Amino acid sequence: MQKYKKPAVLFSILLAVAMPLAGAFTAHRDIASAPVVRFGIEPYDPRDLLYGQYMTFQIKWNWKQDAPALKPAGDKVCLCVGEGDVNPEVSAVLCSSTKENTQECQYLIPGQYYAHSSPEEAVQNQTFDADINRYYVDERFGLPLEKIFRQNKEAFSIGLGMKPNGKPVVESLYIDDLPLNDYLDANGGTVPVPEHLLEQSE
Amino acid sequence: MGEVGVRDDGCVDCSRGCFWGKLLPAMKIKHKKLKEWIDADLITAQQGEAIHAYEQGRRKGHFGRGLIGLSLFAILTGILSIIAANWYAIPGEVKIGVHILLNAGIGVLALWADKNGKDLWREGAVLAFLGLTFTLIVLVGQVYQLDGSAADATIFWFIITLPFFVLLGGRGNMSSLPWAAGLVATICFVLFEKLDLPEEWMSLIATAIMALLPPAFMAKGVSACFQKWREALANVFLKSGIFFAAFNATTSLALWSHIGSFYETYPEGATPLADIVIIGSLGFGGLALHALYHKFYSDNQLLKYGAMFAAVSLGAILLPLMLPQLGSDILSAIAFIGYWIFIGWLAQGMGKMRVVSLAVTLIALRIFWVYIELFGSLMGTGFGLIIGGIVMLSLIYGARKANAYFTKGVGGDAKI
Repeated sequence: MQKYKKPAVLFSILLAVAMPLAGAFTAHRDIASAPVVRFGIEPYDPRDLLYGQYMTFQIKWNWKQDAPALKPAGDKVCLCVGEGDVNPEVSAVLCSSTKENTQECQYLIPGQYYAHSSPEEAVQNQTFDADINRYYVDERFGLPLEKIFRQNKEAFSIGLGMKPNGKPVVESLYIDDLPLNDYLDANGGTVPVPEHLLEQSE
Repeated sequence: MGEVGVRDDGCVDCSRGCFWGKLLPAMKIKHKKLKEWIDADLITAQQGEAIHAYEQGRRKGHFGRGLIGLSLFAILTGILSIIAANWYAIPGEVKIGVHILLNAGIGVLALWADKNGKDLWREGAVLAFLGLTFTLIVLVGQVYQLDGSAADATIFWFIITLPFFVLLGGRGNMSSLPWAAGLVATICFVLFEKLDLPEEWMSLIATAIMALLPPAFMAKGVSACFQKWREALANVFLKSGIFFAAFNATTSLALWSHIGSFYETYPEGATPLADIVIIGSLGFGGLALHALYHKFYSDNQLLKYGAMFAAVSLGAILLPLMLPQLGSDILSAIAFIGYWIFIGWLAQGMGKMRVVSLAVTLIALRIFWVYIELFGSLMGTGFGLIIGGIVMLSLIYGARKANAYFTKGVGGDAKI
């Protein structure tokens, strides 16, 4: 029994090290291989105060004007993403729709759909939750980023890598069309917060 | 006052009970306890000197080792500060790569320590490996913005570290205690995040965990196989079970009059009574089977006490939940005091005098709480506060007297 202990321990170390590595590899592959579509985002007040260094947001979908709201009646609703890489038009379709009905969809994203209004107001009152609503940022940049985000000082958007199964993964946060790290580099490693916003917090 | 004799080996001869023979060596001994023991004739002056010399020798080099430890800590903190200052600039792949190398190194260190019989190093390395594996999972989640929950992270951590822990961990408190805490956290996170059940079911699950986990931990802790395989881990299970049983029972009894809100999560007309009866049947049934398997503990008094404690605690947890309508301040106080008198009695029988002290203190505090509940309006005035203070002092005096009475002749160090 003792003879097998060393290989068993080495295997257990390998398991505990390799599994997170495999997770990282899969996540890296997903982001590296998936086509990226960017959507604008807007501030969102989280009800969970424990999010800490995560910036919370909701995606500002570019709803197609002439698309009707759905009354799903139990059927799952997907988001049909039209052509384009930046803020493409979206509409709600039943996930079970035939290919012919979803021909104009570049991607179909699963999630939670809510339409709570009369059909005329439907476009303004449709919401779709793809379960992507937070982005981890370094502790030092969290507060200043929140400030310029909530004051609409810059255009914020989120890049989503579209996996073949439809479930998107977060690629990067974009500020003024720059990925977060490039934006920070362009500003000397800081987030430029206007002085009047700083005074507000004091 | 007798003569000072000197034996051939140079030691002071105190065989004739001489005063100086005891005092002179004792004067060199600075430790108060040792002096007391020599004066009380519990140990001889020579033994006292030997203990003193041993302790002095053992402490040699402590200062130097302490400074080395502080220096290493300062260097490590410095390195961490530099890394933290440039955290965003370090590519995610580099962070993960370095973390993986660190984890692998710590794992190999644990294996080396195990092979060379370095128990402290092995325990430290196992603890570090468990912690670092969790931080690695969190780091991967942060770098790739994975939207996982706490339950995802803990269950993943638990599964991938289990073989390592089984092979090298659980032989000391340093690795056993955090692992047991991780196990409880994983169970709670998975139950509450992964089970998408109606609220009354979630309440039921919470009650089942609160009532059944402590006796299950205790039973696991006293299992002969488990004790033989990993004594330290088994003891952690046993002590955790005892702590949670007492804590949950105390909380349940203390909040009896407020427990009606438990019903609010249930649909109108429904009652948790049947659910509580099922949980109680499972708990008491399990305890009965355990007792049967161990032939009603006929040859083990400690196990018998443990089983009595588990059964009474289970009843104390469930009673207020079964009969919330009976919940009144007085009944809650009587049940609370009764439960802690029982614990004090058990502890007295087992010679655990610190627990006796704890029981007496809690009973005194609960009586004071009754006073506040009954005469709370007086507390709003200075007069009421003065009376409150006097009552508290009287209770402490009474508790000390009771404590002295219970601990008399046992030689315990129990104090309030």
